[in-house]
Amino acid sequence: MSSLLSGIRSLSPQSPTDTARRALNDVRLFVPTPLTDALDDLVHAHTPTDRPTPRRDAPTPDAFAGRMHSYEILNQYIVGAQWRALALAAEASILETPADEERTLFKLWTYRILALCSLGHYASAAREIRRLEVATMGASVYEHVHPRSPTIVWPFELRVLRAQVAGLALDDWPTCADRLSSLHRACHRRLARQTDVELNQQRTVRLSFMLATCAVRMRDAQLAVRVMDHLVSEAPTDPRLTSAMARLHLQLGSIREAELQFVKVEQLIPPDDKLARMNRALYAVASGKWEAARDLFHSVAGDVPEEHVCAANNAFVCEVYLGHPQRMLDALQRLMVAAPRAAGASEELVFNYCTGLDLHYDGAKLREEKARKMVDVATWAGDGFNTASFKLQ
Amino acid sequence: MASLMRESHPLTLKVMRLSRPTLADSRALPMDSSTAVLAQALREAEQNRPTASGQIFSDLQLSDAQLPLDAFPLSEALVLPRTFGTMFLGETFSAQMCICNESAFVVRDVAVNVVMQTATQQVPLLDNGATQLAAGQPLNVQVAHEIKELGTHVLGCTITYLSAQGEHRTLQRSFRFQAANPLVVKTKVNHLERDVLLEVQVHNATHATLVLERLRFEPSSPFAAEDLNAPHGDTALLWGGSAGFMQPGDARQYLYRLRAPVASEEASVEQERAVQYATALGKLDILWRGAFGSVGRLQTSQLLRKSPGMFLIEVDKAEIGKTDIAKDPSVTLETPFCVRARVRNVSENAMTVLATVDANKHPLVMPCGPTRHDLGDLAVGEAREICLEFLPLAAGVQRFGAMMFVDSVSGYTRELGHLLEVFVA
Repeated sequence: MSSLLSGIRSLSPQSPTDTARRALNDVRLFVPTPLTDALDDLVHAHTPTDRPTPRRDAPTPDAFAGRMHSYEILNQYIVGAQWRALALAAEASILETPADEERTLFKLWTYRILALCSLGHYASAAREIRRLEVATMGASVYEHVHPRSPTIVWPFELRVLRAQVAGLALDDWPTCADRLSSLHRACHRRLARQTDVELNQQRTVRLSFMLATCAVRMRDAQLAVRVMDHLVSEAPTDPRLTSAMARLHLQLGSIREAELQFVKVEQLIPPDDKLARMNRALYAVASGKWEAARDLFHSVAGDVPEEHVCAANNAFVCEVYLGHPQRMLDALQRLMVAAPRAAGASEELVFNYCTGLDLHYDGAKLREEKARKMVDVATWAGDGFNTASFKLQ
Repeated sequence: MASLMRESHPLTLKVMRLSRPTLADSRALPMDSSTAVLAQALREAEQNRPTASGQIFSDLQLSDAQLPLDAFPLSEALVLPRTFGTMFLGETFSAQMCICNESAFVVRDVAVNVVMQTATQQVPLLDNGATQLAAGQPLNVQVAHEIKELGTHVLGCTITYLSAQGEHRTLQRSFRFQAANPLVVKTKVNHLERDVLLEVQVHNATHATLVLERLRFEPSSPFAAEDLNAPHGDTALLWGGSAGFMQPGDARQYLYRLRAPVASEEASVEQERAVQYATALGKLDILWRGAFGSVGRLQTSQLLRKSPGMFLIEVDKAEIGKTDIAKDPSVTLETPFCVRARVRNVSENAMTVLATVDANKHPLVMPCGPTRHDLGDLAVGEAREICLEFLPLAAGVQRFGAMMFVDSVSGYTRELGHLLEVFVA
């Protein structure tokens, strides 16, 4: 398509005489699947050639083409964060699925878009979603030509991905919010009709959280708080929701309001509940009471920090503010080794660790330490790891 | 973060600003109900990424069925500051400094001196005594400084040490940053008789959301401040919930009434002059919070007004009465009423004062009775009461009582446009 016309959405349906409408398994719906991985590239660029690099999965289209891949296999790719393999397997499965099996095709498309988003290829995901929209938009026009069920129901996950991609690909969070709101209203209507009550309740809660995310991205603190207020008002006795509300207030800087919410939580749960201790610790961070915060986080992490990675990480972060960055480095490294998947491949922990490295080392020594960390992470992490976590300038 | 490594020094110096950490954004994979094909796999994948999940955990066995927190925007993991960020007036600059011995030898007598240099002053922040660093050993110190000036700030670090060769050496480095103004404060002064109505507008000039926690006006003598912003003293409407949020570019307006002391018989001319000629109104004290509770505080310089000044002959305490004796503020059409007023000599000399009522300036409320009143001699600070009679000829709100006061000693003249406004029923 000419670049002059790119991004312009056609409002008129295709001509009824054009019967070469794209089916959901049309190969032209796909963009080229990204086969490179940023972490792989980084490791190869920064590791001396005489040192071994970890063996990482490097899928090729040939290994997946021409056959169906079961849901079991696809789900394994999700669990293993093998997003490139998932994208290729989903594509191959779509191409092998008959055009009239629309439900199956849409499920497979959900896997495909999920894989592209998890790889960070939001623009590619946006393009494929757009092509899918065009492919399904003309369905009612062609009903009399190609007799088939007029109902094309996108899976909920795919609809959510479609909304999120608008924000992630184009930074267009208002459009993301519009699409999520539309979904929210649809779920509300079904709730009003008592259709799949539990499912739609869950969906409205999830969508509300996503709307709050959009509001935060749009820097509209009041909207984010209003959305959360509405949620809390519907479940005022759930301590987790009130805690979530309080933490949002902390993040935005509204400390007094956060304190009020934390006090409400303390009335709902025992004082030694780990949620209560975590809340107090986060409040201590916001109050600049680093020693108290560190001790409270340690009490949550307990003797098995690898089972409470967030609390352990937070305790170690406090060490920097207490003037002991080396302790943070040592403790994070031990945690990453003890919990390679949960901690060692965590972008947040890697970022904190590399910040500690930046503070402690310089020059060749700094590069060497970061290269070592890249090799470690490459051993544990799947595809799509955000390499900005290594803080390479 | 700044790097200061030079090949000729065995020591390196790194500095990191210690702004508050924040909770990581959750990167939740979109999930649906437990019956969906994807759900189980997504749930398992989420468990492998606890720092990217919005889940909040409790020891209580709470069902996730009603509350799928995986999509909550924030995870439980704290992340260190990503950038130096912007430094603002009123905030505290705090930094972690790491001096590391990168050589293979012991470095002795390592002393660290840190100062903050601004356009107007140099503030010492740290002066560490001498210490020894083994090979590879770091020395961690923290410094803090409240930013009280706008513009360029320079953090100057001087490290003196004794090298392995026994040589006294100095490592000097500096870091420059700007301090910007986070809030733009504008004021407007309005006079209401003896009092002052102060309008204050506060504008968020940053690119981030701020939370205004407190805005307090501290009046200067002789004023007392009344906060007109919180109805019935309920400050929750001002600062509670999301009311305190100020998005980038937002402005808030507040109103204060500054009350001057009531003019009394006993007040001397000097006391009265102190009120009327007072130009300093007071100071605003503003407290705000940024992300994760970072504190900022600003106090404005003295807010000033253009003083109304004083006439040498002051007229005050004008009151309405039906007769010479009874005070009754109601006035009815075509019914005479009396006004009592106090005329006071607030000059520095004795006066002989003659008061004249202008019968033509306010024809709808005519003087009836004498229009010339000889008040006689008035010493400095002395007051005399006069009683004037008027007849209202039209209903509604009417101004009346245009007068002239003349001191026959100095020739000083004061014209009064109107004595009072009254509602004529």
